[in-house]
Amino acid sequence: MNSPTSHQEPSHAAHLSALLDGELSSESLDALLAQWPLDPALADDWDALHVVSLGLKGQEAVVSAVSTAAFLSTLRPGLQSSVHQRGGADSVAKADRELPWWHRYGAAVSVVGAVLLGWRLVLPLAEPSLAVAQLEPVELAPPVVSSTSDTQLDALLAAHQQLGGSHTLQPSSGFFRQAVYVVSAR
Amino acid sequence: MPMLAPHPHQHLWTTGVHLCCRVVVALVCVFAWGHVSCAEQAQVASAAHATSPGTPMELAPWLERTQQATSRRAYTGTFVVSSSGSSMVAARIWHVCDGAQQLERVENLTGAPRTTLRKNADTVTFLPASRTALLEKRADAIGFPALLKGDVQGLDKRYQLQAQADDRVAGVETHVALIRPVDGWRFGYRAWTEKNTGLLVQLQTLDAAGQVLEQAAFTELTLDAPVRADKLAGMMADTQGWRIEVPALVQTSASTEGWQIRGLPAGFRPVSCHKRPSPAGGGDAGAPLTLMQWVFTDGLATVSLFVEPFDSVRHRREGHTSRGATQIWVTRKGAWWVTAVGEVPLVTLTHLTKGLDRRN
Repeated sequence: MNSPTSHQEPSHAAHLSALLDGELSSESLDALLAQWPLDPALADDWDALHVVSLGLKGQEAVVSAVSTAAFLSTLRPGLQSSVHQRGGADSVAKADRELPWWHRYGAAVSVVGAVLLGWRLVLPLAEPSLAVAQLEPVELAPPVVSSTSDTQLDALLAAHQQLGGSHTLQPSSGFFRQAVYVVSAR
Repeated sequence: MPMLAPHPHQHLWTTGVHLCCRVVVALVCVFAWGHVSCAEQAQVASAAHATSPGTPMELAPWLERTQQATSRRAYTGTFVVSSSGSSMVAARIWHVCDGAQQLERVENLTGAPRTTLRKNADTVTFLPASRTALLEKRADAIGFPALLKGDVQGLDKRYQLQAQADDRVAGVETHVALIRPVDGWRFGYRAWTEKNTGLLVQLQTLDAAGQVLEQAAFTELTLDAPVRADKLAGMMADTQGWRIEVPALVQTSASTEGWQIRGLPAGFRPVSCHKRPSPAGGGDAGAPLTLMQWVFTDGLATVSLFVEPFDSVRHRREGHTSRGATQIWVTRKGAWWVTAVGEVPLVTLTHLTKGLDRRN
């Protein structure tokens, strides 16, 4: 028996892609939203589309859509091929020992130059992280409560959106988010 | 003509020259990079719109432009909010500006049917299931300005703005900007703004690792849409046949309520304090105002501290949960129950609740 996953219904995957491109019709959006709570794979597809989209644009990776298992399965063949190539690497090292000393010296200087260049490249990026390390207190992970269905918590979220959710980035954005996102206990 | 084989010493000489060249080039590159890097840091783009990817920009004019964009255009669109928790909600949006009046209509496409209309700071939410119309005022009208004018410059100390590659979202061409926090007290953002007006089309909230916690975006957008302000105002005023609810909300101060706070996270400051009925009482107008809401902001992110008397029947679960980018931290402080809510990292919430003290 087939379960209703996005992989078996290409139309939903296509709808996600169209949604990302801003080209999804209202009717298709309705169908997609109706399917969303029934098909957990849609959320994974949605995350994966963002990863691909940002990757193609050369932006920073922002979404961790790849599961640990999938990541390891991708990594293992690479590790194995690396082991197979060790013999080749040894041969290269042996040949390298037979080179005149200035060749090895030249390589060392290149490495030093590269390190210096890399240092100059990395240093400006590292400064904000250092600031974070200095300012952010280290705390143990707190207990996690699952209170997403707590109607009283929903009421507090609505109150927060009313007084604190007026998003400075754009007032309307905060209002839309409040009106759309807060599942009020009302 | 026969080619002459290079003399071994000539080979050594050539290699030495190449070596020296490589060292010189490497050193020149190092110092040149240092020079360019400093120049780039000094050359902060003054233009409010995005420039070449990676270029630092000034945050204040960029923010003002995105805020002003709302008042310049009428538009309709489909607004989708998705989060890392796999939730996804959507609404149809109508927005129009009539002089100084801002009018909006938000029709939920997911969950229980609900329509919210806004005219400046006044909102009416129609809930068809209970035939109830909820009348509220937004923060703008009750003490918390949407844009903290005096604080915008200070934002540059807490966030850094950087241009990224242009993109196309919801059928419109956009500039992309990364708002990176300088420390771990706040989240970062990636914003897509329409090239001509600066209208915010898509916004991602990012955690410290750069992962998207929440994305709010127009998936379809029609600019300069024929939205009539008088029609939206008429819909907002048409409450006949609906049960009107006006939730009680009274302005107060933390000191009046007997509270103070020590060691605020860098850049955060209190902006408002109100009392309202506890959610346990259903928010009825006649219910006692036992819940204090103390709001803090760093200019972009906000936190609400809700404080109410501890009730052993209702208040049982301490800990952390989240709803999209909104983090929630629940803890007991003696005879009081504190719920911290905000679009900030958990550590900011725990720090604030620890600093909360009862005045003697």
